[in-house]
Amino acid sequence: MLTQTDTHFATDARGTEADVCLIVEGCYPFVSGGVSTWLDWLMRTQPSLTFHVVAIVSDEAPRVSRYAPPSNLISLQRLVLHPPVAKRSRGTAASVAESAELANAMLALLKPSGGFDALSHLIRVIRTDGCTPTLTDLKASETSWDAIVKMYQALMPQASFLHFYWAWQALFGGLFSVLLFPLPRARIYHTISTGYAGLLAARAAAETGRPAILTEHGIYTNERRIEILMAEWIADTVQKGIAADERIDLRDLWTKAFESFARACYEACTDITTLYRDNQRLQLALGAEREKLSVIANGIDPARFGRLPVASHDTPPTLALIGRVVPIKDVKSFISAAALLRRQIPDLCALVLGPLDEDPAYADECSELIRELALEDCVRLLGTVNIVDYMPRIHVVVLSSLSEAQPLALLEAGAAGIPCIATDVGACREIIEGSAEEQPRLGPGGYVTGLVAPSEIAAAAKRLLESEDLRRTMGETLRQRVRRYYDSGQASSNYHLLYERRGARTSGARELEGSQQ
Amino acid sequence: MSGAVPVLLHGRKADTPRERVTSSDALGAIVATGPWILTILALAAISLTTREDLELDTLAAFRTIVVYAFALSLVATAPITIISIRMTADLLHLGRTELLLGCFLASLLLGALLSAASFAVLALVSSVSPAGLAVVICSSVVGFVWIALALSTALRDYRGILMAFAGGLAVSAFVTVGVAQAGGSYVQMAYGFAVGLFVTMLLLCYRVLTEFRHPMRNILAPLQAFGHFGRTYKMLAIGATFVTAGVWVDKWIIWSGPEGEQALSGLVHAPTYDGAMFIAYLSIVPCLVLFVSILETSFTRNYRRYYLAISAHATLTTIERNARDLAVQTHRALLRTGRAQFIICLIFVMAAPNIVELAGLHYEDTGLLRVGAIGASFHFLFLASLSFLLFFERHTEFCLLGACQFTLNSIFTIATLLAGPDYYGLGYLAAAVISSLIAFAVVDRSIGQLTYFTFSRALGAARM
Repeated sequence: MLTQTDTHFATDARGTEADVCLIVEGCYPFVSGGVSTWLDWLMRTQPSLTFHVVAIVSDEAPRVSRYAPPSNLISLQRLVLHPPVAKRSRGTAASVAESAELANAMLALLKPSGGFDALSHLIRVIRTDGCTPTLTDLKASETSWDAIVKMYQALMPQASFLHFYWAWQALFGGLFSVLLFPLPRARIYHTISTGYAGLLAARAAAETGRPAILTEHGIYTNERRIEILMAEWIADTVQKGIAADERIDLRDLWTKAFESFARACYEACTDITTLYRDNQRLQLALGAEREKLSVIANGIDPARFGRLPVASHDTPPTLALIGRVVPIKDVKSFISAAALLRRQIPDLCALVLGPLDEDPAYADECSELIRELALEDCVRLLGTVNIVDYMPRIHVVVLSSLSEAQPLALLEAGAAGIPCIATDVGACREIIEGSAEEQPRLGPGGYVTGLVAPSEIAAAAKRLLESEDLRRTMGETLRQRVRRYYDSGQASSNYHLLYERRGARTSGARELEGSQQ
Repeated sequence: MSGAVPVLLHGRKADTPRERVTSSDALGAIVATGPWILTILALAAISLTTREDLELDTLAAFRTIVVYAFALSLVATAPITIISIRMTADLLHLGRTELLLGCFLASLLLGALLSAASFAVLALVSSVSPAGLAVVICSSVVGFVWIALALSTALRDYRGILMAFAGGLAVSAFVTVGVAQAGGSYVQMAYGFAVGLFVTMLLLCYRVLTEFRHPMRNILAPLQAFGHFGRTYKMLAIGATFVTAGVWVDKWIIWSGPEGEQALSGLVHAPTYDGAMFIAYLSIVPCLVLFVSILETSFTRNYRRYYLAISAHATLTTIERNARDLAVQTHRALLRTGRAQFIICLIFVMAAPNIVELAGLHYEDTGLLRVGAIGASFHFLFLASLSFLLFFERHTEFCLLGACQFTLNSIFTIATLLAGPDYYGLGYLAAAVISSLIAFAVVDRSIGQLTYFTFSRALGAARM
């Protein structure tokens, strides 16, 4: 029902215990990008450990793996959050808990006090009498309907029931899929985000007693919050004035749900890492305990990019945005910045290097904007390319994202000696200007701008494109910083230590164990 | 990182449980009965006009050809008819008007082929050689008529339907009587009757084609669309086959019993049983008209208000209030028409001897006529309940109830066949009573949980 083991990989997910079960959502191996590439790197740099991967996807649409499996990947399983519901629910009283109990358990999870304990209670409620219901029982039975109605009346009786119903199906349908998924056997459950992946890790910790660890890149809850705020179709039905109003809105429901999922995950995990210190502030605010927090920065192989020549001054001035063409990367601001810049630099070349197929509607909007601004001969959406082939002709790398963690694009550009301009999100400032702890101070490796600020991007790019000295100075600074603080070897050994600390066995230990038996 | 959730966030706006154009298939189930009754009237008129000029055997042979053509084609085309109604409604809803003409033509073709094929199957198991070609032609023409009628119903062109049938059957009666009086054989009379049906078909098709003006550009797309809708609405198609077969199965069983006679045409019939039951069936005509008018007015108004409120993002309180109003309308419609039907039934029962005499039946058929009239009343309630289930998109229940009535009618009629002629008709009556009570209970449950069923169905349709 829920799982589909990709036959591309070995399939013994349930039988063979892996050292690490990696739980990922909406990325590896079906979507190429920074996080997916990092996951591929993580497994390849831990050859003594074995991995299961649970890839969480939204629906059953066929997906093509974008990565060749590393040899230590035992299996890959897909967890589909929203498979089609069967026409008929078994719907027996024994298979589904009482609707009031189910509604109360879900409401408790949504409360600020709800967390790992509330999740564990919900799991017990669902499995009343030791009988596991089907997903259809939980989403479409009369009992679940009663629970939906009770929750609606408790949370937002003033709002569109249609909206609530679909929000419930999306949020809790996904939750139920996670709770019914057959867990692969592993010594450590490692999630790279909160959300549904975090829920599965929390469930694994609750059911197996094995450690769960969370290594966050971006702050998932924050990213979802941005998307919810940007969703224009959600109508506000509660006027949040001076008077206290207990009712909530659809936006609040989505936000509350993801916050509660995050709380459950933070409480369940023994270790919570992030890529840069600034993120810890958000993790603490969302309920993570300070003593569990640490930082493991992303790393790259500087040698791979260090040998590349720097773009010469006699080639056309070239800006590049390296990233997926999706709204969160705010590619439109980059295009607008190129339009402003071209008035002063007529032979400007602006490249967008990244997949176009993740949000085709947004990619079409970007193409339309290029046409509207008459930039067809200046801005080019090139899709997925080998970045290394393009770097020798790029003078400046731009990242106009609305949200980022620790973007590999900046590290790779830095390793190649290319100065960068990035919005003030995630670790971008830390990479470009250096962290507060940097000693000695190396200086800036580019410029940091505000969000959705095409004119700031254009002004910074103009300074860099017009001064070869500035470009070289900043490029070299960034190269030094990346070599010093963002070496993949260092990152790899940090993760290895983390796994070892939490009980993963190296291949040597496994052999020793095998010989003793 | 991109989570798996944004897809859901983006997609939700469009996934509303739409107020589909469901009323057309519900009405179609009812309206389809009207032309059959008009046909009985036309046959009665022909019989009365020509009984002085023709041998009774010749008249019976002619009637069997027409009855077989209608029975075979009605059952054979039932799945095509209901799918084509539903497909037209959905295509109109989706704005895919470019497929309408092609789908209509594909439906006509499939309907005619199935009608003819059903006779071919019959011909394999019996000897009907003298009338064979006439039945094939009549079946095909009537097959066309059912489809065109279904589409006219979907377009709510009731006036057009009435005019087409009245005009066509008048031509049928006129030509058939003319052929009879000119000394023509029963086969020639059947061809004459088919001419009128052909006129009906042309009139219905003309009205449909004037609505479906979008040119057909691709011949395969409509067939593919038909296949798609066939899969989507397979429960409807199976259910419609059961419901139409359920109307006929008691007659087929009686034909195979001691009352069965082989007419000159080679076709088997049971004149005593058929005559009484066909006339008994006429008793539901006034209430059919009343029921359709209630569906089209107060019920449809409440039905639309209910679904529009959901789409317009009403609160659950408003949705449930509208559901209660709709429940009241549903019960009221069934009670009003049911009450009227039983008054008519009472009149039929009391006036049975006179009706028998007027229709030229035997005096001994009075009891059968009374039983048939009571059975027809319950059968009417059964059909009315089914039409509500179609309104509420309870396709599985529609199918199961159709199968239930068909099975009960079969079993009980076989039982009466074994019990003897005194019990004929009681099997149909018992099946009608039981199935109508079950259907009423199912409607009651469906309307009581309408909001749950509406959203569950939308969830299934959203494949989420």
